[in-house]
Amino acid sequence: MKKIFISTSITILFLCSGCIYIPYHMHTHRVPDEKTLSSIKERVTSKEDILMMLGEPDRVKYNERLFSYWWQEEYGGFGVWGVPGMGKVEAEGGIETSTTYSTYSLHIEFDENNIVKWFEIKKIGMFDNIDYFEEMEWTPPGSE
Amino acid sequence: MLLRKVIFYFLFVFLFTACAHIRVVDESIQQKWLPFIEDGKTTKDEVLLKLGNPSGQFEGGRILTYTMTFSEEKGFQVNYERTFISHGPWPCYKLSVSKAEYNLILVFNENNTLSKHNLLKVSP
Repeated sequence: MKKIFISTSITILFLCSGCIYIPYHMHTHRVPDEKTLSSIKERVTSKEDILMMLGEPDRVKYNERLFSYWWQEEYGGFGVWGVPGMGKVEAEGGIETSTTYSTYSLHIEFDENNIVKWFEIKKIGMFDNIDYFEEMEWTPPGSE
Repeated sequence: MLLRKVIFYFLFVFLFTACAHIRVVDESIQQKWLPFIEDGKTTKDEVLLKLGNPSGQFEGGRILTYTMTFSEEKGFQVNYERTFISHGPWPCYKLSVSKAEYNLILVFNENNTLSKHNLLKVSP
């Protein structure tokens, strides 16, 4: 009981002692782990393997020759500026939040045997064209 | 006192961190809610009859994918809905993605019998 009282008191003191920033990190859409990504090998990994590991692609183009997957992570924080109703800090008391997103894409081209020909992982910037294959002027084999 | 502050700080950081990578759903959950899916037994016709049109078909229909949602009341249900994730401050910077949290991937053999499958949780 005494321990709970001490812990609660410290927490309250901590929250009332000025501003603190509590960061958080969330995966908001389809984030593959490092192990999965590192298992993708050019001229080895098949389309079946990719689908089994990552699921349905977010975009499929050119008769399944190109797959795109997107994933997004959310970073943010709560800024606690004292606690409302606690005397002097009341006026400024409250919680502010800030959020930023990191969006990534995985682009894969398969060969005629449905084996990964090449792939690239890219961080999508604010002004990037989301149609990566269009941006890199990819043309289907045989149409050059 | 300082040490306790530090401990509390890290506790809060831990509590507000939710990292869920793509992961395979436990086999027991699959068996409970999708019992008709059995490698080496289930046919493509059975799958189409039970689940309807797939959300994706690959390699001439050899691989079918279903985007799904889950609730305790209804179990796994096919969900074709799309949503957007934003990668910039303006409305045009949006990527269309499936709203579903689960992906079911079904690989069939030349006799249209299920050879392997995976149920993935793709979104938290």
